[in-house]
Amino acid sequence: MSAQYKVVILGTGPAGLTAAIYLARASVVPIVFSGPQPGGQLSTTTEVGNYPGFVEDIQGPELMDRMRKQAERYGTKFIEEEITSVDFSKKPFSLKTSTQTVTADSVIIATGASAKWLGLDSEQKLRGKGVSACATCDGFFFKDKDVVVVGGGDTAMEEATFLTKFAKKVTIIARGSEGNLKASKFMEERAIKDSKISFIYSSEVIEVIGDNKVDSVKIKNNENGKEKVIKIDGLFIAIGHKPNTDFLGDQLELDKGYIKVKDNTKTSVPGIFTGGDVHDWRYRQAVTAAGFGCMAALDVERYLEGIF
Amino acid sequence: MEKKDKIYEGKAKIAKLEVDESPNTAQKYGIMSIPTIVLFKDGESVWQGVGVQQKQTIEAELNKVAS
Repeated sequence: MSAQYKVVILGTGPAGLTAAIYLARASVVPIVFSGPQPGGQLSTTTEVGNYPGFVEDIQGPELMDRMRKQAERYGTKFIEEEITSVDFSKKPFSLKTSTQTVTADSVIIATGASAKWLGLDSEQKLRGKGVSACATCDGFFFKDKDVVVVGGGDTAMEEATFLTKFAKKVTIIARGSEGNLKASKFMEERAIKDSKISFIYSSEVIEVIGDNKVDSVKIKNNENGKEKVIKIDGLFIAIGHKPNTDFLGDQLELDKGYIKVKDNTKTSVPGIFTGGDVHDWRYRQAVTAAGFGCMAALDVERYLEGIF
Repeated sequence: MEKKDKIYEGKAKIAKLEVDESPNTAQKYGIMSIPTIVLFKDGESVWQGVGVQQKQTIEAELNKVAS
């Protein structure tokens, strides 16, 4: 017999935890599955300067820790596991981890998004051995080293600028041609002006080379097809994010991987709600995710009361 | 992690390394990403897990070497 709950929340970023705070305060004890990265994306950032209420910058992990404690104070129960598959075809809904199955009357999916990888075998082999998707987490290990940042968007520019604090030289490899990057003008110019940063345009990484650590990368120019190998110590991937929806299979309607919503927080299955980066491709901020989490919680309350 | 310390009392010792203060030790074991968990048996590194690890993964690895 599996445990049966009123509300199960997936995810412990700002969306999941805000939903938990609201539901717990409304005396609906929420069960929260922490997922593979407790605290979500903010757990790997440093200063957060745009979350209202903190006059001085607060560290991302500390902000998430506080949200979690606040949710706990009102009675939220946390389960340190990850949901790997779901069945939303009948009620109560069922959700599986690697060790147990639980059932729920309603679910809030707030599993967020994760950094995208290039998808090369050589890249995955050297993850944590010089390949990283988080400059703020791992930049420290590349003091006076040569690093490459892959990507042409704002994230790539920001990661490159951050890495100049440690690295000797930062090279940005972007698919776009000069003057045609996805990054905003401001971010791109800031990177161009930085004497430690250089650009290789119209190119992509096709192989990461190294046995036990990154030694070099093979890149290909997508205009003339020419390949070359450059020696580096670290490779930072900054090509955007993908919503964490793989575990859903075909149980919910998705749009380019993101959960499709109607009427703010409702999904294609009544009783399943969502909030945060897993459906929001547009704003993707801590405070908007928290807002969506609050909306999802209020909608769940109404759903459980039979209002909709 | 503190919880694990109790469960595996007498079989495994759990220690943390502040990489900012001990960069050389981190380098010695090829650590280039945090968090990284390294499992040592008789002083030898036998397993490394990069990134946040699931409780089950850590337990499975610990059970392989702790007897």
